[in-house]
Amino acid sequence: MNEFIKNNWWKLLGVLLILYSIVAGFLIDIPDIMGNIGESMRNLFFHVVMWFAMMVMFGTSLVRSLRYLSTFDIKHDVIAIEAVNVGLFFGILGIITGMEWANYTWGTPWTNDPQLNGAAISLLAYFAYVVLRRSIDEENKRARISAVYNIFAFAMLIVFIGILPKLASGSLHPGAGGSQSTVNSLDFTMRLVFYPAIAGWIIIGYWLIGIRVKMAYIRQHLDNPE
Amino acid sequence: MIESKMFVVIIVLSTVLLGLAVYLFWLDRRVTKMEKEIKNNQK
Repeated sequence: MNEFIKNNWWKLLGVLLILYSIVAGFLIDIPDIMGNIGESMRNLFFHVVMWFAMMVMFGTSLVRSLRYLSTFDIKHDVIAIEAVNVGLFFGILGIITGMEWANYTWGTPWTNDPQLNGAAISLLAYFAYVVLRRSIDEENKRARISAVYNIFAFAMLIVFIGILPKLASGSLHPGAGGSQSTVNSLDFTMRLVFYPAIAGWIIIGYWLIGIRVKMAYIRQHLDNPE
Repeated sequence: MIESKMFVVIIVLSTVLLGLAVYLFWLDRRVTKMEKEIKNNQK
């Protein structure tokens, strides 16, 4: 048991941080700042955190792709793809929860908004990464080509989510041009829940990557019995 | 009073989360065991 705790304590920490965000997220007082958003502002702790966790997963994938390109150690490529898979998982949840929140708040699940469209396009870029990998059979060639593509995909992510929305003129979604960014002006009490929640989900993300990497190893050895 | 009803929501969501966490820990153990088994068979 002690051996187990020594190796896995951080996973438990991740779960506890998210548990904290559920409890505190509903109990703290929410400032009434934006329109008719009211209590649903608490979605910050559950919808917005998905995007932050996704960014870290894709960032991790980029780093691993770069490390693969400099070392040609296939281990980095394995982690790169699984990090993208987990990032896509968070991103899809972010899109779905965003559509649910939008439908409730704005009356429509989607608007012609740079931040929304940018997020969708960025996810498409990473879906393309997955498809690209499936089209190449040879392990090292696949790793090399997809590593280079990963760099472009991340650059697109930065442009479409980080840069273009800020240049836009009018947006319903917080953080884009024309409206106040929620994170920069976030109430202190909310920050006390927001940041630990992000940390928790990042930890869960790394945990998921670890499990997926092991599963990939198992599958590879089942497909190629020695 | 809304606050007292909120506790039910918190308890429900916590249960869901803990259920998922337990499943994840079980899955992790299972997969790690399989990985070890393959590595042992290779020796």
